[in-house]
Amino acid sequence: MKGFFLSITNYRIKFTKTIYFTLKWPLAILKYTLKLWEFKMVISNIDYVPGKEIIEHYGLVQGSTIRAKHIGRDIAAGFKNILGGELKGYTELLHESRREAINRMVEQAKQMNANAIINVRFATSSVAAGAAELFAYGTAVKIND
Amino acid sequence: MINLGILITLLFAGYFCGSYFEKKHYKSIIDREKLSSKFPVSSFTWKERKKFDPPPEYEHSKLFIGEMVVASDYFKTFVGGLRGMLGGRLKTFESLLDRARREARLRMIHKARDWGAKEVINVKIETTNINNVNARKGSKPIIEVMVYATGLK
Repeated sequence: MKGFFLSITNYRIKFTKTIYFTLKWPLAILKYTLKLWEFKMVISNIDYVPGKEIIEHYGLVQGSTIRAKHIGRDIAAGFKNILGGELKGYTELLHESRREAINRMVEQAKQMNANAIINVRFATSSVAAGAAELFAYGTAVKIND
Repeated sequence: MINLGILITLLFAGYFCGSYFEKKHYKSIIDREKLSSKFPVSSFTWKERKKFDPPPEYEHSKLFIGEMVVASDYFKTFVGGLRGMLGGRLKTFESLLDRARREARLRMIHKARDWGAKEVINVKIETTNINNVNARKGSKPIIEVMVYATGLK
């Protein structure tokens, strides 16, 4: 009898686990698409938004990430250091992390109820051996439609 | 003796492969630069750009980023180490940084043209060594170049 109940509970746990893992990825994708749908912030490098007027200033917003190197990519980088050339893995890694820094900056601007970020600047610095900090900052403003 | 042999083979491999890749890369860069030679790219801010006629009228703007991470080959690092003792111009690293910068700029321009930009202004360029903090002797440079600008349409 005990064994019977145990098997049922085990089955239940397995069932819930499988449901969770099958739903996990589609849910993540849905979340991401919703995020993209919301993404209407105007980001620019100049202190002006063409065709629109700046109504209000909210001040500085910033976002940053620190990324460490990947071991697999590090080995590839070691080979590339002998032969020379582009490190595509690192380029992608830095591109993704920079997007994340920008997203954090945008979230901060959203909290201020801003509509656009102008005068955006980027800075990169290596903090520790094999880790780089990517930093983005700008001014959050509101523009009329 | 074995160490010397390894060093010499690495130097040869670095020299031949590195120069081959560099030539190939320069060829592709020059070809693509010819295609986008008429596309206006400037480092003016909007205030300075407004002074030129015809007065530009745009409706949309967007930030564009182009980046490239480049590693130097063994030969270049070795020559750089030697030059560090003697001092003077480091031609090998100059070409490395030059092509990284041009490639990053081309990528940025390509993205902007895909979006439909008519002009790109306020170009800023940044360079960082991402391998390690202290440039100790014998460290291999991995350099990241990043170009960002605003596209207008």
